[in-house]
Amino acid sequence: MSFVSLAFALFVTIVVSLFYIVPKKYQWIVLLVASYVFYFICSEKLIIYLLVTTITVFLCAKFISKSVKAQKDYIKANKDLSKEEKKQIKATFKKKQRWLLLLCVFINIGILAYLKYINWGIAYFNYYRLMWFGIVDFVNPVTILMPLGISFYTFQSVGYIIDVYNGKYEAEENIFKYALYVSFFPQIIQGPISRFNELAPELYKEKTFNIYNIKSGFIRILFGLFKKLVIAERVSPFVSSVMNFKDYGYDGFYILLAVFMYSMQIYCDFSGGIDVALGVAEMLDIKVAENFERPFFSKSIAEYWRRWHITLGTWFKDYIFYPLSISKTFLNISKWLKKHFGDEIGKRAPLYLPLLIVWTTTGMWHGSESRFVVWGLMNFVLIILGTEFEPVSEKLINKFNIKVNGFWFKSYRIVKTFWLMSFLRLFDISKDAKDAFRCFSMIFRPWNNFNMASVYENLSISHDDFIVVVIAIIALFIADLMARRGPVRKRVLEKNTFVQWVLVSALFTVVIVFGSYGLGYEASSFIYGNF
Amino acid sequence: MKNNSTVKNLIVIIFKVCVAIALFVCLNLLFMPKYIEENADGRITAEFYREKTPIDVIFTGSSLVHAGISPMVLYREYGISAYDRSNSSQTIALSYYIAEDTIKRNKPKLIVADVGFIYEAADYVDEGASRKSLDGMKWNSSKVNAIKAMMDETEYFTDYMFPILRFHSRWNDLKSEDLKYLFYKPTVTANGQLIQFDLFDGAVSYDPYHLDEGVIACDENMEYLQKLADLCKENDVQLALIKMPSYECNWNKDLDKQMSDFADLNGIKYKSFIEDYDSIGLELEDLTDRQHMNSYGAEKFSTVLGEYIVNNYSVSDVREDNSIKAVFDKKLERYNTLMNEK
Repeated sequence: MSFVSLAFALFVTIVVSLFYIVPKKYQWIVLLVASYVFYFICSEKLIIYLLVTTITVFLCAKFISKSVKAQKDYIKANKDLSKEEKKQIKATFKKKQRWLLLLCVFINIGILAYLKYINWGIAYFNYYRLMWFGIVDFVNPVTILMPLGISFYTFQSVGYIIDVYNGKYEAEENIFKYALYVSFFPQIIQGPISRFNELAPELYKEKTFNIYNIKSGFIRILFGLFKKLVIAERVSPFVSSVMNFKDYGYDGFYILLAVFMYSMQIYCDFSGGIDVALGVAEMLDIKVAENFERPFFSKSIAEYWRRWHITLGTWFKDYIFYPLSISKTFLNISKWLKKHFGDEIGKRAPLYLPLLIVWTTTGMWHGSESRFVVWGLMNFVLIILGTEFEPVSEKLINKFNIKVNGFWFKSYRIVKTFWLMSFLRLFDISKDAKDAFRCFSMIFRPWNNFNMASVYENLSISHDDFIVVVIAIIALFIADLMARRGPVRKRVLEKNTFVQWVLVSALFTVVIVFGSYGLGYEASSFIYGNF
Repeated sequence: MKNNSTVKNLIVIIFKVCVAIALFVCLNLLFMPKYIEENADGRITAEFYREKTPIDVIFTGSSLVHAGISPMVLYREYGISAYDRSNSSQTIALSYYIAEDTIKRNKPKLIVADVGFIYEAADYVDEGASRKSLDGMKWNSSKVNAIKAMMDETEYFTDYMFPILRFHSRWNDLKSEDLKYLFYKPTVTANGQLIQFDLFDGAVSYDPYHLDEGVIACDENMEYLQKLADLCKENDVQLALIKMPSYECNWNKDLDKQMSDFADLNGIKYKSFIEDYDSIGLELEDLTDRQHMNSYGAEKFSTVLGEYIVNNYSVSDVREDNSIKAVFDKKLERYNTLMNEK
């Protein structure tokens, strides 16, 4: 059941109605049943993976929580223990907790890694066996069906157990309530990756019907569909065509246009899906973490990553970057580097090395192919360069007396960041890393072969569709500009009923009429739904 | 005071819902193809529901029927009240549901089914063509089952419930016709017959058995034909199976035998007009293309078909009923005008 289907609209209508009809104390049960029904409809027998993650994480977290409690109780009951004895007891308990944590993380990340990378591993195994030993007896790839949203719910679950291990909060006692946290249907397909202490209270709290939430959620869903159906789906065939025909004269400006359009496509596809998810949650009066904050208005790559796929970024930051930066190993490395290479390098090591690991894993998270790892490393390099060259750029700014907060300089930084990130996306749409670099170089071929008539004729986008895309992108730009002062839908709902109806009807009509969906379109899948 | 405010709120909500529904209905009407100035065969199914006079004979089948059978000639020559409920590429399954829908609304005395499309594969679907019939049908169980039977795996039932979901991509193809005929659509057929005068250039030779030998109707199509026979039997409606004549016919003698055997088994008649091409008096100028007759050909063939019906089936001469005669005379007058317009 795709977000872009009438079946989903009907499903949401039934769930929202039931949610507010049943006694409040049963509301979370409605959500749990709905989430499992939704997941089963989408994934059928693959629901077993979700169950395995839910049960293993729940049990491990419970045992860890129990162990933490037992440790506290023991120390409390034995007040006469010396400091050293207390430390020893804590260490004994912590060891047990650590083993439980590692077991749980190993099982769940293991499942995810197996499903995502086994065929990649087999391909490399076959390749190197052939290259080094000349063996042509290839190992066959494994047929794998990826459970829907496995990356998202695995990360969410692993985040939960790490938080429990760190004593951030106690483990959930009720397995069904925990199961709801993992499976909450609007966000299971493509996130956001929510934190237990933020989402769980929202899920279990008793809610009262409020028409405002319904309206606001509905507008957000419509806007999400606008992005997905009117823009993302319409430009997708064009981008694919340029990439397929780039060696047949469609290089230069054609590629530049495709790069721009792909940025629009992926933003509208991903954030559109998130808007639908958060809109549904809003109808249920459930606040879910935001995943986008107008990322194309970022003035640097570091800022961009704080505004794009926010919950994944913060997940990597909280569960990989920070623990690694302050780990004994990295501090020792830092000391060693300070001693041998000086303070400057030693100071940077605990920052840059974890960052390198974060970006390598982020790349791997996006896909098993090497081009994604290169993409991650390119991001790392650009962020490091941005940081390292900051003093130089500050000098230049001072020298030329540039107004840092002036319109033109801000615009320059926004445009620069947009294009840098757009060029990095060539790794998404190219066959491999080599192809991505080649494709980038092809942009600089002469642009005089560009011809709009040829675009309409050969690149899977008609003149009328192109006009719609341009107008829609301008509308999106204006909406994002307006969103600086808070969500646009909130301001729409402050207007009188007539204006609200006109605006909502107009948006609804635009989605229904100009959306690229139905027979001959593949609107039902989301790019990030495959992760 | 509180009650007043509740009633007021309720009225406002009902009003808003009505406005939303009205807008959505208008959007659907706007984007549905109108089938008036082009592809008028798309109006045949829908126009049938305008018919208020009792209809004795219903024709089902493919485009050969609405091109080649003239209900007005049948009336003029034999006093038969008839209607063509055929459509382009109408499969036997769809013909069955059209017949079922007809019997529910206007029980005829005779259903004449052209079996010309029975050789097509069971999964044959021409979405564009079948939608012309399906969108024209009024909602009832026959329409629901017809949609289910005709849909392929890429289609959604909801696209039939809300046609804008299918036709929204016509946004850049909307014409003044779409606004002009938004709510009112003029009658474009003569009791289902499409009046057309195009002439065939005769670039192929006469070939009544153009289909490869050995090709016969698949089990699924035969099941639908059986269902049609059973439906007629249950409702006490006579059933006639015919094969329309063509200059180049997608037909063979094996199919002829299969249809004859089926007819014998069910105690009904099967008549192939394929070999009667010359005796009907058809010439190249009676055809629009190698398969379809134009309205001149329809005049000739309908005269022969009418005689066959009168001789073999029990149908009354509606000219004896003054009220029906009055309606049909008007229709005939319109038909004559259309024929003379050429």
